[in-house]
Amino acid sequence: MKKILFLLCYLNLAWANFSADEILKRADEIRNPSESFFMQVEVVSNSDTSLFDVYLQGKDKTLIKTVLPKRDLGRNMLMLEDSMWIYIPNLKREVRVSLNQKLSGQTANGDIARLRWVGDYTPTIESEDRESWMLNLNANRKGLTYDKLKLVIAKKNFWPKSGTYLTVSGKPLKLVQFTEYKEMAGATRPSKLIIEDALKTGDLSTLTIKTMRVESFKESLFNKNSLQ
Amino acid sequence: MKKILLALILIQVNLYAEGIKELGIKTNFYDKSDTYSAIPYLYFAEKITFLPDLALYAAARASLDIPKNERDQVDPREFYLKLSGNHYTVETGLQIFNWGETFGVNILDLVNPRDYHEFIFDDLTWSQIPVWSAKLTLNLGELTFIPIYTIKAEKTVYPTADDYFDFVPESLKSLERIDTQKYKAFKNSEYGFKLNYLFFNNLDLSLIYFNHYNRRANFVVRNGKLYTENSRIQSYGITFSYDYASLIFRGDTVQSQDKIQAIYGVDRNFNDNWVVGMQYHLDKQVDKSWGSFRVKKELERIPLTLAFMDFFGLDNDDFWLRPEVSYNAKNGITYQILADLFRDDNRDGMLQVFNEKNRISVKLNYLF
Repeated sequence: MKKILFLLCYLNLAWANFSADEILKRADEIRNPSESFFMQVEVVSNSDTSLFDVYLQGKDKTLIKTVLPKRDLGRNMLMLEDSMWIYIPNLKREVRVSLNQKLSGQTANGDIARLRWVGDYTPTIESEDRESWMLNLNANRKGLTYDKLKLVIAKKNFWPKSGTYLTVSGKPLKLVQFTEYKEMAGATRPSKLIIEDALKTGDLSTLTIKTMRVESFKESLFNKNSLQ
Repeated sequence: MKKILLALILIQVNLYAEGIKELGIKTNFYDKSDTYSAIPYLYFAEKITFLPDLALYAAARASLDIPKNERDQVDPREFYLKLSGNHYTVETGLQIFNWGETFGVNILDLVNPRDYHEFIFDDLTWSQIPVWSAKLTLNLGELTFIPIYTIKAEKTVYPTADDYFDFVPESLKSLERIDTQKYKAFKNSEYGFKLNYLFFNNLDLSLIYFNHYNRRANFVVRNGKLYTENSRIQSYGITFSYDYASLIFRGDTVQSQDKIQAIYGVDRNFNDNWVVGMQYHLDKQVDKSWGSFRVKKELERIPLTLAFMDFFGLDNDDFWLRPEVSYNAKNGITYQILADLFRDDNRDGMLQVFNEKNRISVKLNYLF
């Protein structure tokens, strides 16, 4: 009986006619817990290895603390809605920056600070096959990390598989793969993102989520005036 | 003896602390002069967490002044307790505060005076004098209220007559310099606040008020001596930043003694690691204005950063170029070489004291 129910559920999932909005919402839920959470992220690029402690509160507050390399210790980043600041320790001041500014290697600030797509992008289904949907995402406003995205989402489980990040004119900037799915913060999520320069083959950064746990934080943590 | 003891304590703390430790040397070679300076230094910054909500921040710096040896220093830079609540933080102790959004001169850094013994625009954080103070940061949604109280005002430290970048006019250099004003705790306190609001359209706006002693003392000649006189003043400021389509607009405005200083600018980060910015500077205290332009490029394959800054008078002769190269080695060592190049025939600009004072600066630091 259980097998029949499971089969029915599977068939329902496979044949259901999902809207682009629904697919993106489900893919977002795979990438990050809806509550506040903490994660430690390692970014390995050609020239460097960086380690960040990331605190995400609700949908629009992110604090990133640099742990490694040592020379960037204290270089903390805060994102509130679409605004971002970096604390520069040797200047002892927080500096307003844009989301598309380079964080490390091929990784932009927004690649870590902003995990959700719903609300930032309007999705449309470009094409689909038996295995996956291909979504086109257009930024709802200026100033986001990327202007356009193409995403491949698995039909079986809504897992994001790969993506292409593009400029406003549609020129590919970066190629992304979401890999190494494992249990984190109560669900199966991609623990590794491979981000490659679309024009320079082999110029890539690997972003690995080392730990992720649901946790809530004090509001005072997310204040640009207390970034030190 | 006291300096040696403090240096030994600092070295001990450095050996066992786990925060940022930095060993470095700043070397300056001057054009048209045999003068040089070398400042080896040791710096540490440490955070000690007592309770989840209570931490101590401590930082100190020991430096030697070669070849003069007159200003070998062991300075506590920070020593304060930080208590964090859900919607507030309280920081009490020896602190440095930086307000304002623009780059370069930092006209809204009103709380800490500066030590101008070295080049006046060199490493502005290094030259800030920490003050014993209490700061409350109160989060009220998008609004943040930050009152600050400094128990005892500290004075700006000016160059002496034999300093390479002394800015006292040539005709007054020979006079003995006297400062008779003495500040006392509570009697000579300073206070003010910053009120910050982040608007829904990403405009980040702050209003600033600070009641303090003048950071630019008046030099008065009396009985053949040069007296520095500081007066009590009030400063009002507005600072903002605004992000539009990856363009960051910044602005600082401050009014002190009925005169306005302002800096407005815009900068942009490009996808290929170029950063380009420009600023407009206005100072009604001297009735002059300037422009500045800066560009920075981080190379991708090697950890090399190239930067270039140009500061020029719009209604005066000021002209200052600063090319800069820095290399971040994987072992934690940073090598930096930069040059400060000035116009030699500056007649009416603020930088005329730097006529024929070009310099090359080589810096090396090791973070461990």
